[in-house]
Amino acid sequence: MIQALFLSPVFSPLFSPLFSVVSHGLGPVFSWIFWILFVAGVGWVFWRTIKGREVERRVIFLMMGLTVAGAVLTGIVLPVQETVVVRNIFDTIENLEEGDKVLLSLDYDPSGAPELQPMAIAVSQHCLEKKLKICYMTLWGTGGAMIADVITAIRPDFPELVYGEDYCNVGYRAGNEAVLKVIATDFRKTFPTDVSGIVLDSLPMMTGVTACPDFSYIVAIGSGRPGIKEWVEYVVEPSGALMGSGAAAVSAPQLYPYYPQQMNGMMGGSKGASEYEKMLRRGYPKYGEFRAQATEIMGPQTVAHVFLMLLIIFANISFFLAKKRKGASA
Amino acid sequence: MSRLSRLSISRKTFLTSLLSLLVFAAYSAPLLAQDSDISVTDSTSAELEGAPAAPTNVLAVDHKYDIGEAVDVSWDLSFDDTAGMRNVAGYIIYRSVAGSAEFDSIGAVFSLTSSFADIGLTRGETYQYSVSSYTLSGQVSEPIVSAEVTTEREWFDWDEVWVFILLVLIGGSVMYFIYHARKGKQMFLRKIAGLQAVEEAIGRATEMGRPILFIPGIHDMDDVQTIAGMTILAKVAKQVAEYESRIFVPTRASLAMTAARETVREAYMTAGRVDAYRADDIYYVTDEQFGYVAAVNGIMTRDKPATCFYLGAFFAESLILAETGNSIGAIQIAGTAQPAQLPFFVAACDYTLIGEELFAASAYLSGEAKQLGSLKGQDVGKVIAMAAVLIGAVLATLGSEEGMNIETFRGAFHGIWSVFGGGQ
Amino acid sequence: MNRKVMIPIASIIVFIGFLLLKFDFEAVDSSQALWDAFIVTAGGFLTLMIFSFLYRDNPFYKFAEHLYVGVSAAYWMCVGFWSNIVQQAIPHLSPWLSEALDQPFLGYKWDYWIPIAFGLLLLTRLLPDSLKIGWLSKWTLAFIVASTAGLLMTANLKANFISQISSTMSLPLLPDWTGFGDFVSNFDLSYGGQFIKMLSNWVIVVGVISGLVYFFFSKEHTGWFGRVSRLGIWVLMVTFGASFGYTVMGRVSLLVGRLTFLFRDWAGIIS
Repeated sequence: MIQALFLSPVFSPLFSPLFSVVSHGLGPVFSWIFWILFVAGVGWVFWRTIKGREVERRVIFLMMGLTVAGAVLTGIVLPVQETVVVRNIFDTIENLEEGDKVLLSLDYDPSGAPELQPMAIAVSQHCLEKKLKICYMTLWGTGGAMIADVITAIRPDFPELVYGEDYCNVGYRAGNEAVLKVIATDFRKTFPTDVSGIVLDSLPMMTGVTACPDFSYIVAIGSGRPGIKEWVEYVVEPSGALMGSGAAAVSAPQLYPYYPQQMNGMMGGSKGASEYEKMLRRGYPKYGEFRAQATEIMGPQTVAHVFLMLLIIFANISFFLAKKRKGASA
Repeated sequence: MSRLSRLSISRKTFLTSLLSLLVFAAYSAPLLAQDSDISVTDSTSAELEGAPAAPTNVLAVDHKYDIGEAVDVSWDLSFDDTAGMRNVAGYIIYRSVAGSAEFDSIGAVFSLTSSFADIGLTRGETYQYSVSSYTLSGQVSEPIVSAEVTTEREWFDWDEVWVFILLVLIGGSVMYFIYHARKGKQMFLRKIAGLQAVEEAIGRATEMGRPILFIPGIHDMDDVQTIAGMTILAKVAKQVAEYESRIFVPTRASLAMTAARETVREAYMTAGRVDAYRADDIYYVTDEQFGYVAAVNGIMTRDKPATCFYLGAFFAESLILAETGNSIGAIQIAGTAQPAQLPFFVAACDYTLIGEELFAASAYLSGEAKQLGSLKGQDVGKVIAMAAVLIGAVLATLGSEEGMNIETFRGAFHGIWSVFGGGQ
Repeated sequence: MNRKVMIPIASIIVFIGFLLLKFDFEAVDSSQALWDAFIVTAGGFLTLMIFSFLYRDNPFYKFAEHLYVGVSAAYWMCVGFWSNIVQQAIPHLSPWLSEALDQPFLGYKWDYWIPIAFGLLLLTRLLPDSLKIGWLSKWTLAFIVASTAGLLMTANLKANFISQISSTMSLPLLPDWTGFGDFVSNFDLSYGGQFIKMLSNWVIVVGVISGLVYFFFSKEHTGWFGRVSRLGIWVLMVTFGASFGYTVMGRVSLLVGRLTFLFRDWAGIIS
């Protein structure tokens, strides 16, 4: 029973760092120093709180920083558990046929990049491995730089790619929801040219694309408004296009109601991205050596979560102790 | 024990994946197949040995309620596409423009699929369709030709009629209540904690001789939350003017700045202190979300406002702002309808208007007939929603019980049922 | 020399020092190498400057903040100009301007003058008050507010009202109830067994209704109505807790992303 508790998906992320710490970089010595410091720091905070003394917020900031920094430096890698919600996106792309067109919308800015860029890169790599044609677009003014970064990241692996034939970038158009409302029925009305002013009709891969449903699959990766919710409301609902999404962790809970009817899969935060990276590595072993950005995030993430949970527990203990003391003195 | 549970997890995961894959395949096949190019279009192959049985009863009908650019093709599955036979891999759909005998292949779908939607046609044109089944080894059945079909445009989408009725129902009650509020009828609104705090907070800032910071969210004027924020800003600014205090309104959207200036100036005018109005205290910062946050953080730590209002649409900045405000010891009053950001406001602010309370507060403070009426009208919408959920749940439970005849019961509720259950 | 001069000079020297450390002296394209080194070094410095706010407000943070605000405001202005005016409007207005701005001319379209006129009306606010035509900008505001409302209304009603209500109509009682099933032996909340299914149906129906009651403004929250509304606020608080957790995950991801940048790209401590 106890063991089953440890192994269940709800609790296993809590305990697994203790079981499977894989170190790289500065090696196991550093890793040990880190863990000792971590335990000592947590112990100190615990001691302060049960004594009823205040722990300054800056100390908490510092400890959080050190915890995450230490975890990043030790390079803890945790096993990632796959979920069907993410799997659906992978399978959809896996089942498309060579030459099919995929629309990838990157609706975020650099502040959302650590979570969302890995999704964009992994999905792009997967599409190109399947010889699908990718059309990039964005609803955010700052998204243009994100698209450029993704293209720079994947180009070295696919030197034979030809712009306009294998992929294209139509860039940003202002108008938020209005852009979506129009491209659901007429893609060229909003995007007559690509990002550098080339007329869309002169790009071979865009022949036959008149509206969003002409893309075999749409993957909207976004962190706010306009984002996934708007894609569902203005493109999926009226046109019936097939869509998967990648959401920042903050907005993921609000988007779950749209799964699976209005979008067939969703990657939520860096956890979702790391799942996709895992599936990509398994399906295409050449990515074994690939720097899986989201997977790297998950280790420090878990350590930080453990630290936060401990803080919440300590704060509660201290709260009730203070209450008791007050009661005793009164 | 542990092995068992592990086994069951993996089997469960496997089964769920498999099931979802099947469901997904069935769902997506027609969509995926539209672009796929299956290279078995040679009609002579139909005469090959062992060609599968052709589909029957091929129908082509104009797609209902569209602008006349789509045709729905449907057919009965080929005899070879049934359990036990299963050597049909899919169907190929051909189209010809009426008058020409030449059929072009326009798409294909997987086996067990019996419909295809042809989109992007010309309105008013007459088409004819034919469908063949094919096997994996490339044998194609003889094509079965449908009757001719002409695409037509419909002006109304009758599938959406329930949306319209619902809209009329809720919109109508909103207008009804606005009408009555305009005529001076008293409208009851329950008390909202936090509203009383607004005046105290302004008074406190005046006593301390420190300014007030008002953030109307980070969205532009096209968001109703920003508008609610502006209505409350009008009230706040009026009191500020009366108390001779000072108010800062940094905005992220340029139009919001314009609106905020307008609002504050009018409030100062109502208070009879238009000379004290300073347009420069209400300014645009930057559209970049975190650039804006960095700037507001700076304002907070330097000008040390005694009271901070955050009323409008907020995203990731909610926590950063509320945390900084807390650290400088300001009284904080927040309100937003962004569910993901409410936890941070609840944790770090003195008062939080949760979700619709923001709009209620705006209506309450302004006493405007329009806002009061909409709030009342929305309450009607909530009653409809609650009733629908309850009735739906009861009906679903009764309906699932075998042997119990609920058809008459369900018939009585058919109207509501189709709005909420059948509408989608 | 006082601190006001010393600190900036010292900072610049330290910055140049780090820049040289990052500079690839063997690079073929030395200007590109200098640019790359500058980008990474500036990124690292600015990250640390912003982080310093966690200790307290200081000149370094102020510098980074003002730089950020200035650069981003200018960036948005450029994006707005190039993507709206140059890429959208110009190709439909004038072949000569399109040529000059390196855009393909896509044919005259008279309807593009409507948004342009609205845009110009918005600018009337910038004219001196004495002209008394600033109120014209309200037309544009009215257009924006009204068209968004119209655009949102049916989309919202369908996706967020009707669809959501219809999926809330779930079964509070399962007809073929066989017991607690795997719930106890397989301690996993994500398991879709009978008990969990029924439990979650109850939670959804009760949660939705009590939440709606909390947001019902036409009746004082007293008596049984008050108790249901109290339950509603509890449900809301539980939701906030879940939302809080997810958000924490997002924030930590961002911190990890920044630290990875600092350690890998900037300091080069990890591979």
